[in-house]
Formats: sequence, structure tokens, C-alpha cells
Amino acid sequence: MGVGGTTAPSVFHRRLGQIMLDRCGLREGGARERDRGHPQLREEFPSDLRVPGTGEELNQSLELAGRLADYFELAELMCADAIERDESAAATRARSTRLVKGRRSATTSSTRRCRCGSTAARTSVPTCNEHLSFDEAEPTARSYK
Amino acid sequence: MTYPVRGISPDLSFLEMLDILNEKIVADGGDPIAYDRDCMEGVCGSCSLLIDGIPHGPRQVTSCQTFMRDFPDGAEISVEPFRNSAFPVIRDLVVDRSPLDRIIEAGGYISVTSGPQPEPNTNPVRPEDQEHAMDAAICIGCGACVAACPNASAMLFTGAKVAHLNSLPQGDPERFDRAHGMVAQHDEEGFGGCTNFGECQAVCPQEISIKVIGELYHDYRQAMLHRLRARRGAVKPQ
Repeated sequence: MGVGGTTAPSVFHRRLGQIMLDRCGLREGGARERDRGHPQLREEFPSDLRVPGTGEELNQSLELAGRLADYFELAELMCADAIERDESAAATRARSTRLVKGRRSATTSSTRRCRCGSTAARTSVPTCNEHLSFDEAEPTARSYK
Repeated sequence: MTYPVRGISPDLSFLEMLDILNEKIVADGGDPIAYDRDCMEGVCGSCSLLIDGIPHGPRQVTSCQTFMRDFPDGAEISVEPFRNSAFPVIRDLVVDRSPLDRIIEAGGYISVTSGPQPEPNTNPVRPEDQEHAMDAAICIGCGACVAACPNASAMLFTGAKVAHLNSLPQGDPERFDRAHGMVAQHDEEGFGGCTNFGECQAVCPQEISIKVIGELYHDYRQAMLHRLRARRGAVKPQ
């Protein structure tokens, strides 16, 4: 079974996580680079992955490989969205955002939205954009004083 | 099978060491070793390794909280599944612990109606009872007690749940059915009886006391007397 490579799914999982930390601002204040390394890793994944065993018995490598295929898509979508809304992929504000009187600026209309991608489109660019309205509970700003 | 593992940091957890071993096995063309894990922080009860013959390893913590610094450099460490007849091996180090789930289904709950719930302070609970219940409720269902017991008894697990719920006013109405039902299910699953070895208490990562087994026996005896006295028999919740 598998694609004939030599690398365990857990190795790809760790590398993807490192990219999210280092290049997609998952760590607050981390760099948000347009060249995030996802496409290169995503190309290596199907060619260098090794999944031992079969699908007829308990196979934890197969389970992780399946989840990883989804993680790649989600990671690219999160990073593309974070770049557009000037936030880190973890939705923490970048350090470059200035504090005003000890308070983070309140969420703006550009951040009150839900993004989704499309597996059929095979692109990391968000393909849908739904604006969220808060009628009963208005989001407030956090005070760091 | 013996696998050499080199260059392991003392700060790695035992499961992280197994991950490194598995990556090497996969890179060399072999099948990785299957084992259970989830939270990696000692609260979920998923990890279940017999390390050097002791459930979870040399310290009284879960396998995921056992670290490589707990072993001397160059040690040969044996790793086995939690072996007993009630936990059949699924693959490698993974065993089926669903018998513990079925013991819980047999009474390890409180029947309450759905819908609006009463004020939280409607049923006052003495602090001593609350502490006692919590000491038992922290059982994570890992099954180390069963693996350690020479009789493969799950009485510490069953007693913990009965002691927890029967200590609280919310658990009182069903206390007899709970004790009787859970012990009956325990026996049906093939677990052995308790003969007070105390090995379970010695390995429990949550440090649950075997006093809960004594409480279970007390409630079970009362449950049997209650059944003898009951004119209509036990009424099952609908």
C-alpha cells in the first residue's frame, strides 16, 4: 500500500506544523510570508509518503495520512486568509498592530467574516466569503491595561 | 522483537521515543508499532503500555508522562500491551478496553431528565462528600489497575465510579442498581475477583485508593439485601 516513498506521515505532519509556526504567523508575531513552503511540501507528500500495511486492519499510518491530506488544504486556506486580513493564522493580531490606549483595536468589518476553500478548485485562495453579523452580542476589544 | 534506538534526548516522553522508533522503522521498510495515545498529558487514559512489566512504567504516572530520563542510558526496556483475557489484543500494543465502557453503561451514570436544569445549589453537598467524590471521579479509565492485578480484576475502576456517584445526592436514588449492575457487568466481561493484593493502587496514575473497593462491597451488600426486601423488584428507568 502507499505511494512508494520512504517518509512516514508523522514526518510530514511535523514539517507542516513547523511551516505554520515559522511562516504563517501561528506563533504570535511570527512572520507572514507569501512563500510559505506549503506548495513544495504538498508536492513531496504524495511522491515521498510511505504508508505500510493495508486498509484491512488497524493502520494508524493510514489514518494519519488521510488526515494530513486534509490538513494541507486547511493550512493553505488559513494562511491565505490570514495574509488578507492582516492577522496571523492563529487569529492573534500581529505585533505590528499598534495598541491604542492599551487596547487592541476592535475587530473591523474586514475581520468579521467566514472563509472557506474548495477542494474541487484545488487552490488555496478562499473561494467563498460570508460576512458575519453580530446582532445580539457585539464583539468587544480586549484591554491589556 | 528488539529495536535499538539511539540519540534519544532524556527529555523526550516514552511515546515520543516510540514515534522516533516508528519513523525509523517506516524509513527502513518495516511496519510501525501500533500503540494507543491521545492527549499526551496524562488525563485521557488512552495510552496503555506495560513498561518493564509495570503498567505505564517505573513512576506512578501514565505512559505519556513517563520520560526517557526515568531509564539509565543504554537500558533494554521491555514494552508489552496491557495483557489479560478481558482486554484482547487488537494489534501490537493496542488492546480493546471496551469492557470498561460496558461497565459504565451498566450503571456508571446518573439518570436525569433533559430540559431546564435546576439551580446548581438546589442539592447542597457537604465539602467532605464533594472531596471524596472527586478523589474517586478522577479515574481516567486507563486500565492499569487491571493490567497490574494478578487476578485481572477491574474492581478499582468499578469501585471508583460507584464511590464517586454514590457519594453524591444526585446518585443516591440509583445507588443499589448501580452497585449491583456494574459488578454484574464486571463479572460478565471476564474480569477476576479482588483478593486485596493492592497492586492496582500501587500503579494507578490518579492515585485512587483501594478504599473505593471497600465502599463498592458495602454498597453491593446493601444492594443484595435491598433486592431481597423489595416486594416489586428493581424498577428500571424508562
